[in-house]
Amino acid sequence: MEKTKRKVAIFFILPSLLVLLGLGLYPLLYIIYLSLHKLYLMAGPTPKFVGFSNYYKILFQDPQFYLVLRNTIVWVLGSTACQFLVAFPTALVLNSKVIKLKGFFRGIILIPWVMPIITVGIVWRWIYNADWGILNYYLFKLGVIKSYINWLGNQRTVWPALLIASTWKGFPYMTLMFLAGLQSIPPQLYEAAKVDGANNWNMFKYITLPLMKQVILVVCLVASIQTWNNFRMIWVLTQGGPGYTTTVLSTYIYMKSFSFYRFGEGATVAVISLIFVVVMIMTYLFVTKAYRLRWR
Amino acid sequence: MRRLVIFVLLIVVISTWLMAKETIRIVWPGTSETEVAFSKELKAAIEKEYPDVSVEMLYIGWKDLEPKLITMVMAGNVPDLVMQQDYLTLAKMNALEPLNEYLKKQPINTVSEDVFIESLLKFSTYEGKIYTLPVVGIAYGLLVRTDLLEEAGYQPSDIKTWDDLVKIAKALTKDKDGDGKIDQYGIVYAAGAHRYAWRQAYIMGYSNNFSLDEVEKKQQFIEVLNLIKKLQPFMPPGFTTMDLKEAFQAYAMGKAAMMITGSFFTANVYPINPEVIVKTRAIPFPKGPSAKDYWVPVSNAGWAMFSKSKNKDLAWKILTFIVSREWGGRYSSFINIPARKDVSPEYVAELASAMYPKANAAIGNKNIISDFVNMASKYGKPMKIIPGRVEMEKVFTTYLAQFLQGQLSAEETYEKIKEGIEQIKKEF
Repeated sequence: MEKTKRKVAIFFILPSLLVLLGLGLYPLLYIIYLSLHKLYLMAGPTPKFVGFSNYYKILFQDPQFYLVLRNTIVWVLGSTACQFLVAFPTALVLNSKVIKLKGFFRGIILIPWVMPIITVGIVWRWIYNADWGILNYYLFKLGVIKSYINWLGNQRTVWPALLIASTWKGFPYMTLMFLAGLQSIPPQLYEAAKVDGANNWNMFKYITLPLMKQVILVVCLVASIQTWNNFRMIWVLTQGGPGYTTTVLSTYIYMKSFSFYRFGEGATVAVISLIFVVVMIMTYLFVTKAYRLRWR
Repeated sequence: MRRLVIFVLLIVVISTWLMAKETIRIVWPGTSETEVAFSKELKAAIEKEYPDVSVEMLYIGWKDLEPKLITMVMAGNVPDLVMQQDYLTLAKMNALEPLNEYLKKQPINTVSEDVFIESLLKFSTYEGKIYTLPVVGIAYGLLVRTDLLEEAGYQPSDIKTWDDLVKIAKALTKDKDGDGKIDQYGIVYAAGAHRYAWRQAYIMGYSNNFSLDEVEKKQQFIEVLNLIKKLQPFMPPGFTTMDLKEAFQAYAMGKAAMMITGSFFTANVYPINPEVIVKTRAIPFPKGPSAKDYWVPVSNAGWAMFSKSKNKDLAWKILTFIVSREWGGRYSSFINIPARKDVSPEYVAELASAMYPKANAAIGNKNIISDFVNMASKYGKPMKIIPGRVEMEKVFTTYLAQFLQGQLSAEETYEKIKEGIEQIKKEF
């Protein structure tokens, strides 16, 4: 009986398992395989085993790699921090009793999140357009700027421009998560604090913040992992330019592989990027203590 | 009864299989309105000529063409035919079928080796193998708005040297409505996409009598960089992030009075604003300080067959149909320079009048055709086929961006570009 049950279970699991192996494990192993080979299409279509020399080349000889890595860290930390700074107050406001039509506002803030990222990128690209963009138009009309600014072409303005677009797209997800966290705090705690004479700030500092700490950490970690692999937003807005100013690891992998046709080196950068993601996932597992779960 | 049903089903399956049409997958990179309309006419014509063939058009713009094709090839999802300007990467991957042997066979659809203009066929040949059959010649130069030039007191013929160009670009840069903001710029250089940034700089380099990959020619190279810097104040503020399409828009909407581009100009500008076609003339890019003569870069767009095409004989037939006198001629009617000897510019101009019915654009196009044909025949010089060019483009634009933002001097920019390009060259 037990054996039959097991067979049935395997039968039902098998399709998903095959998909997982085919679309998850196989590409992963193939990328590792490629990273140990020279596959440069301009030199021929056959991979040649080179050991760890791609790693040596990327880590010690590539003039752009550390700039790209720094950009990735700026992108991930900046984007996550900005999203947090917008999302947390928004969640607090949406959770407060002062606000009427909560359902309506909760729906409204989801608009950026449900919009396809490519569409969002194109919209922001037009907003920032140096010649026809609405941002320049109004800033000029209001007398804030004296001439039109190339927001995405200037090294000083391109990062803030990207972070604003990324924050706009990403903050609703964080807001929703924070809102769920806030709603799980028992109201009795606030009532008891009020009886004890606590003001709003004290309640926020001693009840909301400590009880939300875990949620904040997990949500920020998930957002960081998502941003680390967020290729599309940067690609649509700047394609990593000007020069390598906004190139992050994901766009660099694409560039190495599909623009320069250096698939071996592209795979090497992908493996290095993967190591960072694994570290982030381990931190996530550690923070959420998910590793303690026993699956039966 | 059951046997009868099985028999009928079998007949249906077999007859469906026998009657099934062969599908030919064509990758079409011309995504302007005019070119897409043409591709639909072509598809209908092929299916009429070859009733057993079904044509599937895959539209992929020039900018994304190469990476997408490579992905398709590597994934084994190989189409049959594609139009190509830069065929080298695919040829190096052995993804393209050399066409020499096919051309030796009995000519089909009026196609044989000797019908093509030699210099254009030469551009299609790498290490003795012909990879594409040219359908149009492409010449590159400077497109100027004659009305705006006249308004400023100049003629296109006044732009002979780089100094003239800078002077006139300055004169054409204007705040027309007096609100403190410039509305019309002298020239547009689409430096946002590496491919176009490089190509336009390449045109400038040719006008200074060198190819941009010849980094040992320090003086000529630095002169090109300085020219771009001198022109910078007379270009729209967003030029460093501009794609070629946006540059066409800027030109078509009167935001820029001159642009550096090729003979595919009309097809791209006509859908945006047909009125500017008749007010436009093409001239060779003016001579640089180190130039002895005008050099007009010439290349081609041609049709290639994939080596893994499932039906090469049929693909060859369709390929020859596309570059035949009729269809090759019709295509060149809006891209300007015919690639075949038997397609005259007059014939092309006649066909173009049907293509560009609005705002006297056909007349304008005829002028532009004759400008390009004249400059290509007088000063035409085939563009170099440069292995590793895509990577060189990135090196060039990276340091050009820093140069234009004042972070590097011309000398430093040159040194960095030289180092990067030499590094790439070492691998070949």
